[in-house]
Amino acid sequence: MDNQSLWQAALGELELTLSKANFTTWFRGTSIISQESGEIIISVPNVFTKEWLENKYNSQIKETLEHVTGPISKIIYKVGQPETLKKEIVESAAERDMDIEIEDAPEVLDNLNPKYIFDDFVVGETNKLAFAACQSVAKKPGTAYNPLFVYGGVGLGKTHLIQAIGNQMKKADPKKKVEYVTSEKFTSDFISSISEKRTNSFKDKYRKVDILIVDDMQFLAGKEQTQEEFFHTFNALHQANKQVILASDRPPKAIPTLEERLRSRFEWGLLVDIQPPEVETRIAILQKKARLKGYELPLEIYDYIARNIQHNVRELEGALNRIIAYSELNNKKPDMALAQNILGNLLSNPKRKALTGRKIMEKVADFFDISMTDLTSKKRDKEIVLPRQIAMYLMREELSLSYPKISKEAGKNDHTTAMHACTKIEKEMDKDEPLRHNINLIKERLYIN
Amino acid sequence: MKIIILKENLSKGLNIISRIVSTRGSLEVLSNILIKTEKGRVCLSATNLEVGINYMVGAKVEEGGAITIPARLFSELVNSLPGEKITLELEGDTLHIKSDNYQSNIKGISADEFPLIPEIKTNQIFEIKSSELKEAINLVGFAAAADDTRPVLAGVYMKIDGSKITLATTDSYRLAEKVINISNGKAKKTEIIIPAKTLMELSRILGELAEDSLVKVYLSDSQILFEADGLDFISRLIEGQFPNYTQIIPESSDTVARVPKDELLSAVKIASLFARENANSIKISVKAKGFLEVDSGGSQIGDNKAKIKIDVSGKDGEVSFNGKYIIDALNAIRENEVSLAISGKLNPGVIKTIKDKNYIYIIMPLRN
Repeated sequence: MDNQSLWQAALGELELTLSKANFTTWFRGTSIISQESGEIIISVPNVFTKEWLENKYNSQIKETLEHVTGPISKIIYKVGQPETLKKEIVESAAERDMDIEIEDAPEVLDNLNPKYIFDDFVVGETNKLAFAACQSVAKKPGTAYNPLFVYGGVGLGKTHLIQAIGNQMKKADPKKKVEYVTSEKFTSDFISSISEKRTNSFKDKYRKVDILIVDDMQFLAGKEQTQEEFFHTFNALHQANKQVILASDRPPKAIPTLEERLRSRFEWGLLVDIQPPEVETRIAILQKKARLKGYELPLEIYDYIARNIQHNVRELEGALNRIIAYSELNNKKPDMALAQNILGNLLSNPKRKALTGRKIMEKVADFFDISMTDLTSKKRDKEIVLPRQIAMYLMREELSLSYPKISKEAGKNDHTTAMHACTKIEKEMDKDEPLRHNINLIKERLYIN
Repeated sequence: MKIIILKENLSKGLNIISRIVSTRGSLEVLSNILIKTEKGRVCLSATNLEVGINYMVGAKVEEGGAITIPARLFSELVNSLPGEKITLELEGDTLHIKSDNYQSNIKGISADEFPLIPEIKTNQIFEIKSSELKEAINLVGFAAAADDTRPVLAGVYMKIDGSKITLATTDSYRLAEKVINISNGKAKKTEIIIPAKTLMELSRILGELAEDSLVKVYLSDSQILFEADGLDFISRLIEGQFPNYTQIIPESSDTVARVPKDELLSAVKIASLFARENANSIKISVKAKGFLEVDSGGSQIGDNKAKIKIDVSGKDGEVSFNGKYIIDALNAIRENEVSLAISGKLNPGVIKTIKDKNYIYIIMPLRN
């Protein structure tokens, strides 16, 4: 078993027997750096940790490790960063002086989809700020807004915009190295570079680009090591005035367990959000998409689709595709009756019918990462009360349940609790942007899967 | 445990150690201090896992023992008690504190829970007078980077070579270097980086000790220990390599001015009031005729100019600096006169002390 997974297995077990404070204080930043013939070397961040582990936890650590590896003769604790980090610090310090220069790297594949360009993006009231920000970043990478952080719900064009920046810059200067990855890809690259012992090539890949674009940042939540690696990558690029572009389905503040230092760095540059498009923009999007496919449909069909599908551009495109496909197959000119016929099933939305109060409670609990038991309990901690009120509000809004019924779903006896919750959330939503955003995200999730 | 101790001694001890106490650790015992009897004296300890500190206080020990108690509460209590003598008596995990008419009880956490402060007194690398070390730290500490984005820059670089010790810091906009010569130096060449915040804290603590006390410095296993007058101060070191900064120290300059420090300091401070909107950019022009002008540059709120009479060698010169960087250095320097050397708008400026030939401070110019 390799060092990392061995230590992870051991930590998993130790975590159960120690208090959280003890565990995080003494085991944070530790790792196994070698295991040879029954002798294990553990790197620890400071001498206090070393003394503590040696004197207090040694037998426990040994026992735990032995569960996994068999007999261990000796555990040695060494103060210092794990090897990979150590190397990196020396290297980066050596190449940094009062003047910082990052050298050119060999060609990297950029993963950009050439289909995404600015010209094809339909600008409306709700996304024009994001669009303008992306354009100015593409014009002046590294100087205009660095980092640029784009957030917004599913299918609103985040990926389109950030890839368009990459494509535009490659067009302007084909020598520029643009790297587009999802945070998932970044994580898996990082992990495989560790297990295959080629962390240097990982660093080369990500630190020697001119523009780094990372999509779906929210998936970094809870991945501490990857966050740390990303932090270093981010710093290296930012210091060299290389552009960093990030996208996520929510603002940095709302990404749970995102490290504070990362969060504050994300907020250094510009944060822009994309809201669901209003009806005019939706129509414009449909027209553009149809035209790209070489079709021209009657305006009333666009209008019909746009009015019925409101929250997601991807669904909008899906509906359009259906109509086009149908008319192609049957060699029929698309008209209103056809559209209504085809989209009828889609729009009656069987999922909407399947939605129940219970389902809302579950989705809300899931979103805020709390348990159903807590959500329906009598607990009045702030972290639980707000989600509970949001759930009640959603039951009223989305299902028009009666107040007594809502109270019952939320584990309350009194219907006034539900009334209070609904008025409160309504009022708060007017002035609290993050809350509004969260509620939109939950709504989206209610109807997906 | 039963101890009778002078309030003055206890209060001084607490003042020395309590700034090291961890304020945001998740482990409760880290916000406590350890009180422990040791060979007829009392040892007070605190740590935030970056720095550990032990300080020995004289007291009458009637019965040995050890306990940890909340640092803040205990310090505030001791500072407010009126009496001269304080009796500390331990019963279970509760510490009874008696003084004149006051009786207080503080619940502690067992001393076993307190982190062990490592003993590393084997490899002494040098010793130095406390006042000299304190002054050197003050002269360079402020120029270290304030954040951890590049860990090595948040530290003070220390190079020990025989009897010569070099301290240097840079945040990549400015650089401070101070060389100290020690009398009986025999250390072999060593280079380390010590967290700057920690050293500043040490400098403050040294101020509480007697001026002429001797500080012994030990090094081991990525830790450094300063020992003086009953004090053990141990800090982690920063791993990594400090940038090779010597190349940016200019060998000569076009214009060298000899300036009264206080006049320059107040001129820059006043100009800074007007330069806030403008990235704190302050223009300094040196005229060979024998005066220096400090100019805030124009901004929406207004502007300011000051003229100082000086001795100049070389030609006229003009350059813009971040005013804060000048103020920081002048605040740390204790001599009455400094030399300011510049070479045109694009080259770094140099501030040196005149009597002490071993200090140099370099500021990168601002382009405007």
